[in-house]
Amino acid sequence: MKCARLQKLLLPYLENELSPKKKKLVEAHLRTCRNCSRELESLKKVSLLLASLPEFEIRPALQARLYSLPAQFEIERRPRWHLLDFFLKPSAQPIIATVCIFLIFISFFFYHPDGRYLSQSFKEKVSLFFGRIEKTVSRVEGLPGYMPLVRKNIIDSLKHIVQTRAEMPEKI
Amino acid sequence: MEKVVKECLEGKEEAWRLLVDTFSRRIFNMAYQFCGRYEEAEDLTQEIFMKIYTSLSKYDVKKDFTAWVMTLAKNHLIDAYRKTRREKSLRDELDEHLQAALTPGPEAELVAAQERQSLWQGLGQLSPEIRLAIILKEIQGKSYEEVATIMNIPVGTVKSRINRGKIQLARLLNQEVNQP
Repeated sequence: MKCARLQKLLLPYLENELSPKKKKLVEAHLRTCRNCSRELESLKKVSLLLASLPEFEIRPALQARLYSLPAQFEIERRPRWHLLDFFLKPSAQPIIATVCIFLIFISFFFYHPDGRYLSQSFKEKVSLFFGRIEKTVSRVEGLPGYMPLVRKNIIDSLKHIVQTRAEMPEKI
Repeated sequence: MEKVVKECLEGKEEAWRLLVDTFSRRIFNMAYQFCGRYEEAEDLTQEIFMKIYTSLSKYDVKKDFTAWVMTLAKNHLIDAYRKTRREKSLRDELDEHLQAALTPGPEAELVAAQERQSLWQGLGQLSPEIRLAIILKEIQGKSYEEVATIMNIPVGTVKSRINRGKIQLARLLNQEVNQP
């Protein structure tokens, strides 16, 4: 038996878990191999030393902390209503109302079953709006050419009024 | 224990105290033997009990409660080890609690005390899985089957881990002895 194989059997040998045949093989190897028998002694010592390591009592302070854990959790779990005070202030209510209305509109847009048609209609309205703006702008841009005609018309009208006024006393 | 768990869930303080009294010493010692630092072991114990408290509602009454608690403790210790692996190389060398407990009486005990100290240091050099298997089996005196249940591994794996760990510790001990 090789030393490497024996090392796997040392602990079962110490704990008396080997079959009689394997036990004899291990014992035969141990009689001839000084290293392995030394390792067996070390393993025995390790087992004894591990078993002799002390157990400690916990400190009263730690015990008190452990006892109070449920109470700590209760404090953490308690609802923090004071954080909602901001929302209850009268000054914040118009803001909240605006946000709510905005969210309602958004929800109509995103969650309505006909959201697709709403979206299409919205796009149409937007394009119509821009079309009107464009028309108005083009009219305003055309005004400079139109203004001399308007001015001439106004002047002619005024002249006509003045003439009729001048003729009126003679008639009376 | 099932009744105690039920009462804990109902918020009865006495039941929680009983649970703490039953497991605190065992879990603290397991944490201290695992991490090797007294203050850190106290923090770990508190964290483990917090985990126990928050997980009580998930406990399956058909399972062994002690094994369930020890499994929670083991998982927490290994998680904590992995999170701060770089800082774990040193254990308390001259820890006052350990020194007080290991102070030998007669002179004949002196060598054994030194060897215990070396072994205590050697524990820190084992991998966390091997270390825990050795702590549960050799120091806390659990059976292979109990260790296997706690660690959620086959009995054969527990045996091989303990075997490897002990051989490693034996070699470390021999190195210490052979050093001048």
